[in-house]
Amino acid sequence: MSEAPQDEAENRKRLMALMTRHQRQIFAYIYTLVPDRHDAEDLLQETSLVICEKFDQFKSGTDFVAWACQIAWWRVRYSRQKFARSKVVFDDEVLASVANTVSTMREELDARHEALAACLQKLPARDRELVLTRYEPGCGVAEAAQRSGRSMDAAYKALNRLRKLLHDCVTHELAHTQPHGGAA
Amino acid sequence: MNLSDGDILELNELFGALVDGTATEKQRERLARLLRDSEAARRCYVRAMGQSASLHLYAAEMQSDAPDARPSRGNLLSFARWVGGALAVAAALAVGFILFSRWASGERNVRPATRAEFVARITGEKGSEWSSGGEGLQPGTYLRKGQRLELRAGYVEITFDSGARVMLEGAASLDVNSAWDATLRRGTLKASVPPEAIGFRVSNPFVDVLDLGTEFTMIADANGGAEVLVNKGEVEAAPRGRGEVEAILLREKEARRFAESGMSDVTDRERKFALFTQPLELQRLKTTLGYAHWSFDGTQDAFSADGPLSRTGASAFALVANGGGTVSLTESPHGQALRFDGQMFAKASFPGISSARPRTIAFWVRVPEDAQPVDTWMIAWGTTFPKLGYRPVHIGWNRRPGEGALGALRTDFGGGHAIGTTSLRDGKWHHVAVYFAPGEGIDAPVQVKQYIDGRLDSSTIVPGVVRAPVGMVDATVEHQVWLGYRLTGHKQEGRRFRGELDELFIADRGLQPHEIVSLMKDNRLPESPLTVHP
Repeated sequence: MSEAPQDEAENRKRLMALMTRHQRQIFAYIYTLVPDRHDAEDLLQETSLVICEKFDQFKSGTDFVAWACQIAWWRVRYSRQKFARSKVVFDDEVLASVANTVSTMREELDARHEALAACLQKLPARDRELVLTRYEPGCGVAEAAQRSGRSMDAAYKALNRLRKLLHDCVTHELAHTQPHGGAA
Repeated sequence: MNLSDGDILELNELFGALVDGTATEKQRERLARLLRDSEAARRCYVRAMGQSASLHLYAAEMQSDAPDARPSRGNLLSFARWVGGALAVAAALAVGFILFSRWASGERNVRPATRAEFVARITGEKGSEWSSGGEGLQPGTYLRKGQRLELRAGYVEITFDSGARVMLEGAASLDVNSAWDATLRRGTLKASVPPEAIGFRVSNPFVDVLDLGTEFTMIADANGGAEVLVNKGEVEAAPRGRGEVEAILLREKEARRFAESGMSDVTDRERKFALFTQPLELQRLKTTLGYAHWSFDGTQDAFSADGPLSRTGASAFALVANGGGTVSLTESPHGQALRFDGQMFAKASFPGISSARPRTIAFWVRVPEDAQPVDTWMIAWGTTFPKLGYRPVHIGWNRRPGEGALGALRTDFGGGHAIGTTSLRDGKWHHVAVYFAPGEGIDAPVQVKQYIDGRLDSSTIVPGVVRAPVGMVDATVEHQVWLGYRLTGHKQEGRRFRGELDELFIADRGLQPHEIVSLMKDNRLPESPLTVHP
């Protein structure tokens, strides 16, 4: 039997709220398994469709992110053949191991995401510009190199150095500050 | 197993190669082996990939934040808090957001739909009766690319976005192919083509008529044949029947019949000419027109507006010369113009500019031949509706040759862009008009029409991706118009506009082609607009 219109409207609002709040985490989960922005966005889109269709099966009060990531996991598995021929390098065994590890690190990843903003702030402006240009939609290392006046080789090296710097900074921030300070 | 410094160094190198797409097969195998064998390596990997995912999100967000209230990359921490408060960490994952928005509005199992492009409007009628499916067609109705009109009786006037105007007499069947092209399947039409729309084409199974700036009539009969009568000017008619290959030029008062058997004279031509030159009184939709106009002919540091909307809040432009920029004025075809040096910018209040209401923005611009891709940002305003991801609209010139002609007029908005074909980067004055209609509903297509020197330069948008979550509204950029500024935190010093702007008009509806031409030629709107639409 179909839902009453009012229930369905409520469900939609609830789903919108959950997705607005948790899309980043779902995207990060997918990206960790499929570390290519475009592939990860495609999978997020497919995952979103399935979440829409199956949302009436989601039990209120349970862990939405875990439920959504489970759907994402099956989308990744389902797309395995497609991605196996492209950039994704991991076989099922490695994918499963990584997925298990991700699921145990969710809180840490959330805290790292927020701390990362502070660490980006600490970078010299030129370095920050390089990093953000590299990750800007439609850009890549080549554009970042061009805009910053570096050679490609120098840009790759600088990006590796900066990613390591940011990683260490985030680790340091988390060790010395409250992990969720300032967040609503 | 703990990782040694050497392991961490190696992993970092592998992670970098993976996310930058440079990993060799050997490196991939090595990484897979490390991840399979070591929980510590996996945790290290998850942190690194999580960081890359976050950087993608932050960078996407920084592409479109606002200039004054939202900090640039130089103040990222407060930006992150701004994002991070009520919105938590839901940054920019738009593909999903589009889907959820559509789902929330009741539509499921869909990917973003192909966006319908409107290319013409019904601008008048007399006694029109439509066949089944034509209900609701009336003056003011927009017509889609590819739409077929089945007029059972009466008269309908259609104005194409190119400026060509067609009077259709029922019974008739017309396919609206594009802003420049229609197919008359049966019935009678009279086409009036102003100079800006030269090149407008009407086809039939047996003839293609290319208008060279004229007025002509085409009568398509039930057998597929067509008669072409030139009322004024001349047309090029290309027969499509057997044995006919050469296009012919038909001049004023000349007529030909085109059929499968070939070309022949038109019978009873004098009566037909007389019939189709009789004036016809049409019922037209009339609405008010609100606009504000800045001439920039003042001598102060602020330039006030005139026009009806200046009385309802459209304010003077305040000039801001940051970073050592200078404010200067220069001569233009209409008095004096504002010269932007890549540092200076200007802003003014314009209540309602951020809403979903259609607008036409028209102005004169001169872009130096040597303008650089950092100097492209002419006019911008913020938006307040989720369909565009609360992203601003920017009008400038195209700085990405991979996406279209370098220097061509470009309008960017949350979810896509439009690029013209004519380069503005030639050191000459050009009149620019952009009709921007975001559409009310989540599924209503965004419409962008760009006119250069009165001629339609582009009407097709390239859809993009809305990357913002619900609720991301920046009140500080609402209802303001910015000149020479990119509304983004991605700005670098000098990323503004270099060139001159003059005679800015912002109208609260889509202007018709002839109104745009009037602005270009006379620097004012026609006294009595023939037809206007909300």
